[in-house]
Amino acid sequence: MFTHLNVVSHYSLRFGIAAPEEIVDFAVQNDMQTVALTDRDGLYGAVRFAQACMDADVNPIIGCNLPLQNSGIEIAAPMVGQASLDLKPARFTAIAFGYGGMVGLNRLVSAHHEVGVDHNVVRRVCEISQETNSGGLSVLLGPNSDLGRAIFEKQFTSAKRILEVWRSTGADIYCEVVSHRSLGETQFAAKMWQFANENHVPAVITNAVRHLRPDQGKTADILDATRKLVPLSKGNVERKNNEAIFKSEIQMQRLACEIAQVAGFGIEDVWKILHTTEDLAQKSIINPREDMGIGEIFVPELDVIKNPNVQEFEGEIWSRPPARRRTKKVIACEAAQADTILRAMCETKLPGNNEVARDRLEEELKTISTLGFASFFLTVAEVVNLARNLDIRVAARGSGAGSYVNHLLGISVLNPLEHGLIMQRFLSPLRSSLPDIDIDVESHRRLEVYDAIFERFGQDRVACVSMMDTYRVRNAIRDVGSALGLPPAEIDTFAKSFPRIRARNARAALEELPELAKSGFGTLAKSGQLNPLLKLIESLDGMPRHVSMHPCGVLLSDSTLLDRTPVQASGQDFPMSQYDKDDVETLGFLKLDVLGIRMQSAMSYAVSEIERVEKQRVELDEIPLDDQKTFELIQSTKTLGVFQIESPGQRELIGKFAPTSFNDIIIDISLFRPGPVKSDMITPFLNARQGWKPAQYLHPNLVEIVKETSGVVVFHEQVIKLISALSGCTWAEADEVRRSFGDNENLPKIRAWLYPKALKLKYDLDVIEEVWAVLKAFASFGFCKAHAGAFALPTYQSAWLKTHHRAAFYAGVLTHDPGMYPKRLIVEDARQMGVQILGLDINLSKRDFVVEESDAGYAVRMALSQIKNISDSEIDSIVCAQPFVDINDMWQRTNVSRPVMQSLVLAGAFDALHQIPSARHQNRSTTTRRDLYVHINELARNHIADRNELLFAPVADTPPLITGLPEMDELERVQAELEILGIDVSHHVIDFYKPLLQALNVVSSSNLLNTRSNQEIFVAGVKVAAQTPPVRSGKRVIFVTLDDSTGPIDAAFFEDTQADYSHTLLNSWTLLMRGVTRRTGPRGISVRGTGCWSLADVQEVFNAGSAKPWGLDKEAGVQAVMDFIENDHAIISNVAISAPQKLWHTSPGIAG
Amino acid sequence: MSKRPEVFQLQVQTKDNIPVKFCWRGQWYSVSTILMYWLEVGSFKNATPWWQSISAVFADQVYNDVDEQDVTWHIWRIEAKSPKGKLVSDIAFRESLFSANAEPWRMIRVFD
Repeated sequence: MFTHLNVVSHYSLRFGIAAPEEIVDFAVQNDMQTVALTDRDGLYGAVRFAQACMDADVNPIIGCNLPLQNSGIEIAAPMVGQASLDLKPARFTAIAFGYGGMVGLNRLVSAHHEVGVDHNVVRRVCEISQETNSGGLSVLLGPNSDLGRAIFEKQFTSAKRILEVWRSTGADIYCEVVSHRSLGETQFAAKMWQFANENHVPAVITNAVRHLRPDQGKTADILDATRKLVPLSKGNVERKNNEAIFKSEIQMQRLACEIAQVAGFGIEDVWKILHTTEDLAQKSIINPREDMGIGEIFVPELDVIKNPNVQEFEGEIWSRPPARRRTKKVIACEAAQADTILRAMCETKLPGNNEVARDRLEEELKTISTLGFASFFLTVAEVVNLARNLDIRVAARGSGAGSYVNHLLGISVLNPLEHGLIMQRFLSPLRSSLPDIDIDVESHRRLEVYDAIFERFGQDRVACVSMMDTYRVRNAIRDVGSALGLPPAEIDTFAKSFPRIRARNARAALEELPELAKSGFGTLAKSGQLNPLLKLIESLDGMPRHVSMHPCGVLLSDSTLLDRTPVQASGQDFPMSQYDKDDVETLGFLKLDVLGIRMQSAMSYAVSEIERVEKQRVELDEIPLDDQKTFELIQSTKTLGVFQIESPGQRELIGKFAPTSFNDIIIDISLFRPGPVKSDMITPFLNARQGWKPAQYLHPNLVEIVKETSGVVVFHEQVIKLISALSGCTWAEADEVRRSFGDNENLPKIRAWLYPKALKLKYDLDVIEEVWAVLKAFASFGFCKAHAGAFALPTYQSAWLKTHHRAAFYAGVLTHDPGMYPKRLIVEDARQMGVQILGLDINLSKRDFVVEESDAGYAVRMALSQIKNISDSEIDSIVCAQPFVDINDMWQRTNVSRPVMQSLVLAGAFDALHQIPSARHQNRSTTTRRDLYVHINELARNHIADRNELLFAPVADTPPLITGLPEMDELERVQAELEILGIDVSHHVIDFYKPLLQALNVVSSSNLLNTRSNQEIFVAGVKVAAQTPPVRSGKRVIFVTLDDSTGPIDAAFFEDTQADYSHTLLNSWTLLMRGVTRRTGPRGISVRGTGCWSLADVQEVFNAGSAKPWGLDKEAGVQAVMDFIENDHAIISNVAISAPQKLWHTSPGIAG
Repeated sequence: MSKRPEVFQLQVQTKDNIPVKFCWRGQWYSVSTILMYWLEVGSFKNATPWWQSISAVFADQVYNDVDEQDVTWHIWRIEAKSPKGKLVSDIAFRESLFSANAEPWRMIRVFD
């Protein structure tokens, strides 16, 4: 029997290769009952590893390989002529045994990550060994340890001293004998073994497993180069051969014999080292439940929830001594008290004389009490209150909106009783895991909520959740390319040519995606020249690349949190668990997703603008949910900027659906999901809803369940109720059955369970068959109504703001940018909705977009923050010093840099202050933007001269000279706006193509509804979005949205056209498209694209074709364009207005 | 004191895959004692790293997927005698996986 005690997984970032699950698989294949995971620098993979071991019935051992930054031991400098010491820090491996060992290991790893502290690791091990008296740590000192290095240098006196220090820690010390059979390594291993025997240290043999199979060696080299940020070279790769693999028991025994022979030991020494290795393995087996807490639930103590002034540990949280574990008796006692408190809190909010509400509350409280989750609800309610007290908008999302207790506690605004939402989808007595509640807060204030949670519950009960950024195709290409020393520009081009797909799909993408297959890379791939490169790229697929803070996960626990998870500082300096979101749930922590939602920020900002300008306070959570005008706006499909319903697909759906109630919005959101779209639930629903086909109700008993969705099963809640009605089981049981529909293998079992029960309840077999067919088709695809309801609320609220406070709505949307479209489209939408967009003004513009009263009602003023490269302090200095008398005044009273001053001038911020006329009314006797631009250089020179105290420094208050330089024309102004603001404020880009578009009879967005269905037309515009969402056929469709200054135009390019046009479609900004119209409803029309060309190219052809000696010949120009389109030429235009930055939305399926 | 010369090819006579005689600098030595035997896996100094052939693939479209680091050497530390005197050295046998025709024996270390 042999156990590998030193194995790293790919959670040893950019070092290890195998997934923890693969390591366990290898152990099983090699008949090993026990295996260790000893990753470098962290325990990121420990929970997955323990779970995989539990699943495979393998015993897990958990350790960590850590550097000795400062062990407090000095090794004498090598003698002249000897090999120099390795400058990398020495490393040792700590292996936990028992609960105390896991506590110690977690704390040791946390201490290692303590930022800015040069701690003495050995002393820390010593402290931990003393603190954790119920178990402890074993320390393996291998060839890379301080001991190993001393032995390598033949400094045996130092080695003995090092050993004594380690022995004094109280940990169990082992000498780790390793040989990968590289040059001299077996001799070195033999020396280590001899030293151990001479000094009475138990020796163990390991293979320091870095990869499982020999063929993974090259990937290890790539990771070495990537980790060290250097190209591959012999000096930079750590691998000497392919021996650091997961060897079998026999191979390890042979290796032990080989080292023993070199060491001059006999067979009894070989057996001894193998036995010692196995003894340590047996001692170190971890019980995932008892030692790690898998399967238990940990929430903050009731005292902490009740008492807002929790005692916080003072000092470094990583250094806090282990906490006392609460006994089961204490936990039970606290649960009972929490039940009482929860009941009292709910009952104070319960409406009087409402039996339905009381019954529902009783039912939910009973379930909560049975599960012992009252503290969980009290904790979440406390977090929501913390945010509300900070005046931050909060909304619950997810199935939690179905809980009446959540509503009464103020966690969720929606009343589940009013919207037919049920609790069982969220919380069921049949599921013992903690329910999942997500909380939406204003995105720009999310970290304030984090701060409040940490302050309220104490830093030893709260941590952020980490997440692993894994290798996908683009970063795999970048890292492999860099390691191989390929030119950076080529690597960048190759990486960007791929959509955001998995690395393992790179080869398939090169073959299948038309834009890639036709490219030079596709040709190279076909010839096989890219094979070695692609093999390496694919080998990195899914490997963790770096750890970062999860965007929304916060975990709360009792005071044993730091004993059960290692923490490290996140980028924002929050303590962050090394476990990811799934791991922390497995470990029973209360995980709260505090999601920063930009629409919440936008709405909050809009409300504040309404209050500032209109002097009225809008309580968004209290507006009536049946406002007719709001529904009219939604039905009009003019929903750009509105939460959830602004995408082309959603606009098409609401155009057909025409929602008239809040419940309709819930249905709409539920229908527009990948599942319902793929299983075609939309068509039967719309047919019944619009009266084109009668609604199908399968049985009178089932009418009430599916009535609201015209007989179509849309919601999970309907599936639960159908199963319950048919079988007579409870909703909780029905939800368990619903969940099992996800796996096709379960269908026969469910059928065998359901049919007899339905027959017993006197349902006809035909009815049962029909219901079964419906369940089979939709049960796994529906959407949780409570979740959709939680989404529908901000959808309705944002639509309400767009209807009644349009300018404030646009100010909010432009400031916080919550949607998928670029701001320039939102600006265009605002104009079409009658809201004037005012240009940048140095005296009136603020940091954010603000509402101003104008002659035509309320308008929105461009924000200073839109200026490219402007800093926060520059904005602050401008806003604090406003108003300014002239440009000199601003230069003197602010800290704005010259480039930003120039940007302000070019973007027109000084036009009003210096009476610069519009581009159409040029006058050589007035100041121009160019004059101001020149003047800034004078001011800057003056500034330098002033600083150097020159005698004849120019005076700073000289007014700008009128140089006679011509004013910027309209095109130049728009180009400057796009460059500086990213928004074409003064003119729409497409305005400059108007003569061309008129000559070509291009249909505008506003006229699109006047075209017949199935008509071939040309449309043109600026690309604002390109997406490849999942569609029912499973094929790739590129959906493109153009903006032509009269509204959006949505077009779809199917696979038959992608080969010829996808390159232009994905890489050009302004487009001329040919397509066939398709009416999708009274207000809906879309275009099926049949061709597409860069508008700039077309303009070039038109200009060339129409230029005749006798003047312009438009007809000749049009003919030239038609020939160009017919022959499908591509030219490179030099007159195009190019996008200075990416000004369109793309989905992950799009390259670029 | 040991020295590691350039890896010299060596003519060796074996019995049961164990070296019994070898020719070193024109002199035949007979192995009197085998002091140690172990394996070394990897390449010697002159092996071309695998990543260099990846760059070559773009030029000549030929990629040698052989990883030189897979080569195993069986090493004998032996004491040998010749009419001129005694010699302690490490001689190695290369497991000839990829180049069957190459002479597999090398003298890799001589102890003076």
